[in-house]
Amino acid sequence: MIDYNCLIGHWPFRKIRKQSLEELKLLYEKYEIEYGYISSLDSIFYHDPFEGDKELAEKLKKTENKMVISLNLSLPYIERDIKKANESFEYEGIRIYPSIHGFDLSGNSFDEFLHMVKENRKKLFISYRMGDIRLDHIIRQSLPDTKEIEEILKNRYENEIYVLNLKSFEVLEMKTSFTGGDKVYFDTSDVKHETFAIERFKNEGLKGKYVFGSFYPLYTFESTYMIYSRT
Amino acid sequence: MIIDMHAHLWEDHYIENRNTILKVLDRFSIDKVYVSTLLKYYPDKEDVKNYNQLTLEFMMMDQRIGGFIYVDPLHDNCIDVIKKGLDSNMSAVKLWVSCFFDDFHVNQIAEFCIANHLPVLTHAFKKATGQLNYETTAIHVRNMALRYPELKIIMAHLGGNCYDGIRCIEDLDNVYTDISGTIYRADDLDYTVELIGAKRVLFGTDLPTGCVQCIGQVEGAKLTEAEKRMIYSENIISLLGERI
Repeated sequence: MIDYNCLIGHWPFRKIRKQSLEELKLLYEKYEIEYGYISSLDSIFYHDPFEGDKELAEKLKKTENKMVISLNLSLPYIERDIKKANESFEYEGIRIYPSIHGFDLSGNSFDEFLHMVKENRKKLFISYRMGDIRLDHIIRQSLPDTKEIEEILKNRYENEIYVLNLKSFEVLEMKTSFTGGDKVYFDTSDVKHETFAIERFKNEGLKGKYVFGSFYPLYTFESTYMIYSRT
Repeated sequence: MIIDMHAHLWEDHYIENRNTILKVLDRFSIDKVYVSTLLKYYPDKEDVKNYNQLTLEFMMMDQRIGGFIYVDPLHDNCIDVIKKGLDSNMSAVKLWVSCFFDDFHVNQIAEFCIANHLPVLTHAFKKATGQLNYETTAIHVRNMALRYPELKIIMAHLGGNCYDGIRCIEDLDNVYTDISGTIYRADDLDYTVELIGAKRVLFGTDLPTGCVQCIGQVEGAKLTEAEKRMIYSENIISLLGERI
């Protein structure tokens, strides 16, 4: 089993008791997770995300985990971040946070970004939301339009695309976009409103389209694990 | 032993909800679940009667099902509704979103519950995304708890956001809280237990929505086995007394 939605670092809005790579490693061992695609929580909030990614790359050295860099598409000249990452360390994917950084998922600049992701043959991770927006503190998240997500999924990019933290009803709204594409997936970290979510997804023809996401360290690992493994 | 003290039937999906709850009891080894039936934010008397009837019918289907009496404090028959529920072996009173918990209409319910040793479960949720018109938050719970220190109050969902909710009840020994619902942020339960101890925390799910994430919350928190037992079952057994 692989964790497709994992972060390491500091979350500024509350005290997180388990947030280190060492604590994550113990959870992965306990629940037999092979590795995770890990991004930097710090990079979300640093004005220069690369500074957080550089620290994360150092931490992930000599582990089985895969590095996923974070980009803030509201910043200028993001080619620079990709270029510096390419020159500095190995990484597997690029993660974006539209609900926090407030950029559009459509238009020319976003198309250019998608082109860059494709050219660099990286997985794209789209964080639809960063946790329960009802509990937002100081920052108010603004969720993207699911139609914009669907447009991205329908474009049939050659890269793998993972949409993270969707609720089950949002997944079902976008069902045909997921079933219609070979390499488009969603994670199960936020499908909490459906008691037997995984059974429902199987019945709806979405088998093979969902992946495990722990959303460590912001959600209780045991909760997201149980949602994936027991519903 | 696991007792889920906060679950619902929704009137418009009650058959589907019953099936889900029974499936959950079997699959996750939950020993008992307390249900109340809801639908409209502002129900009329006939609605309330139907809701409680559906709860009662479900209780009669399976001995693992217990019932909480739903009442609207704005209705002039609300005490009669509670009396009828007690006669049908229901165990506690449930209030939702028709009026704030510290509304003066709730006083008569509070006084009846004190006299009859009945706990009151109230919805409470502070949302960054906006409240319903009369949606209770922990502030309203605090006001009522201070007004009636003998009343046993259960503030649902850790007050929605535990960082708002638990601080309001930290010093109020007559207020308990439950972990039900779709909240499963890491550390919410740890933070709650640090502030009020495990003795005032109850296990609930808000079924038919979700369930396993609530078990995961308990299993993921830094709790002793004794504290887990308190949360899973002992606290609610103690609170409901002979009505368990």
